Amino acid sequence: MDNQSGSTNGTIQKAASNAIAGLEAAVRNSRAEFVARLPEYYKTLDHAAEAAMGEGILAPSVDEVMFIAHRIAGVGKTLGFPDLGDSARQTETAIAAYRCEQDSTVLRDISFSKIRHLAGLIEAICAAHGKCVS
Amino acid sequence: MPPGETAAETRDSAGYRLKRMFSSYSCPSIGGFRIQDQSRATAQLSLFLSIVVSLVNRIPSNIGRLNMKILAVDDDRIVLNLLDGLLKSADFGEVQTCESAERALELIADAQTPFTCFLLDIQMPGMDGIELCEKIREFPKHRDTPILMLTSMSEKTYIDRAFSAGASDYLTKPLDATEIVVRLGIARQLMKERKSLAESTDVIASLIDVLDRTTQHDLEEAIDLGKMEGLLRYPAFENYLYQSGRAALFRSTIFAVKIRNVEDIHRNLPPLEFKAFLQTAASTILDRLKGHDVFITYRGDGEFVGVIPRRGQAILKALDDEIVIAIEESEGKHTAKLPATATLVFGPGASILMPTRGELSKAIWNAVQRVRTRTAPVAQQNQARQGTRDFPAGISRLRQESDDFKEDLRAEFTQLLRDSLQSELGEHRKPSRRRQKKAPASVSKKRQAKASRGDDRKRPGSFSSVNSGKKLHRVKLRAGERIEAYGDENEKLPVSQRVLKVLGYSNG
Repeated sequence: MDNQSGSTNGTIQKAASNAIAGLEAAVRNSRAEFVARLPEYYKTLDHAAEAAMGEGILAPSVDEVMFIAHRIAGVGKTLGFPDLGDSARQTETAIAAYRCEQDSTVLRDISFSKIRHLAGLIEAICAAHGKCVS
Repeated sequence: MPPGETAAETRDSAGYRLKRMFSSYSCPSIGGFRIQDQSRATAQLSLFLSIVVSLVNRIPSNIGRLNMKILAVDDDRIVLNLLDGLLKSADFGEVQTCESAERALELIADAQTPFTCFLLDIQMPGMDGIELCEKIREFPKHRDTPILMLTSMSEKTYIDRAFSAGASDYLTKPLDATEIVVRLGIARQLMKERKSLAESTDVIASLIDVLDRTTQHDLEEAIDLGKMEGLLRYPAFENYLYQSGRAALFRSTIFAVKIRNVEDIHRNLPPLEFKAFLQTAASTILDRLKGHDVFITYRGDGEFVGVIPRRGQAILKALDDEIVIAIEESEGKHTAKLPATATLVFGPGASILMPTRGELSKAIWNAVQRVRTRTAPVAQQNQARQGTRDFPAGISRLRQESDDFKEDLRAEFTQLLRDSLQSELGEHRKPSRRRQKKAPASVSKKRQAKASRGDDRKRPGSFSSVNSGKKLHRVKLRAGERIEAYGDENEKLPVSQRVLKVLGYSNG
């Protein structure tokens, strides 16, 4: 029984190490594609932030911002951008809360702040990778 | 095949289950069966073992090498690429990806080999992952297929909905290679266990079918119900009746019990369960007649026949005409069609006046016919009565047969009395030459044997039957002719001599 348990653990460890190796290879292949998307993401986030600052609401572009934050939160950390991933997750959470209580100026301001922070991180990454966001 | 897992172990576990199954059918006879005769036993055992071997060989030896066929659905191409690279590197088998729920449903519907695991992103444009999960569960072949939901932390509120929709597990983003490997490993193990269980279930179901076929009895077959006090096999029961002395069975009653609607029960119960049901019925009958020296037998068609001595007739009459017994929950295919109870119907007993072989056979037949009439549907009973009214010739014929039967009985009983008297005369005086000539050889032998035993001494004023010594208070000889054992006007004469007078053998 112990031998079998040990063998099973060994199998999982081997599979996990193979999976990590496979994931690293996939990350290398996908990273460039992800970075290539970032300028487009930045435009959308920046536009939403400006609109929110002018009109005082996030409503018109909130779904689009949510979608981008969700996308980045899903793979940002995996692709080697942990701060970006965390920021995207916080943005997603803040917007989700704001959508539940759209009358809350506090939640609106937090969401606006998170969007700005996320856009700033994207801008920095794009700059580091020689991508122009303007 | 993963290390630590061998085909032998799989087979061992299947064997273990088979062993358990057989032990539930254990029986003191051959191979777990109680079989009617040796040749049939050998044939059945041989057939059974050959089928068992073929079925066990059907258990796949490569079950440990089970590969998965995974479908990953996410609207983000990057996530799909990461999953594809990760899963293929970890040797999870075939991996397919698609970016929408609609496309996923097409792939599932068109798949030649069904997918064995799904990874679904919850948040997707159009149909989301939860709705897709519900749709996948609508495919009968994917009712139990593992579905792992992919979700970011903020979507945890969706997890309850996902599980309600039929999800098996969930993975959080960002993707963690080790977590994915472990969770998919669990899913694969689950799938393997289900597959093994399904195959074992198939094998066991096949074996049970074989068992049913090899133990199948026709309804009319007089099944041997095994050992039970008071229960005899049918041939043994007949032998018991025919070999017992006349006196032992004199005025005994043959009775029959029939299970109402036994055809339905036989059709819907597996053979072994039907046999167990008959055993319950036999046990119930014997229990009701406990302490009255009753013997019963199963003669097929759901009919039991029994014999109860003279002193037990009262209990037979006191019994209810019908006894309801429970039918145990069946493991067969037709459980739903089975009633919860069955009814044992007692027929009116047939008394044995003259326990000859012919009389006994007739008594059995009469008892069975009576219980059949009682258990027949009402329409049939009315039809039988109507038929009797419509055919007076039939009544005449029956009356004639009845008269003949009575005449035979009289003749036989007369012979019995003659035997008895001859025995007494042998002790008190020599028989007349005329009587000697008439006595058949068999009777002479019996008389000699009895005389040599010297066991036929009688008390004055009593008259005993030949074998048992039981008193016969009043015996009908012919119509209007009686021998009174007590209160005869000429009590000074021994009864034997009075009887001899009536029969015309008196010389004084």
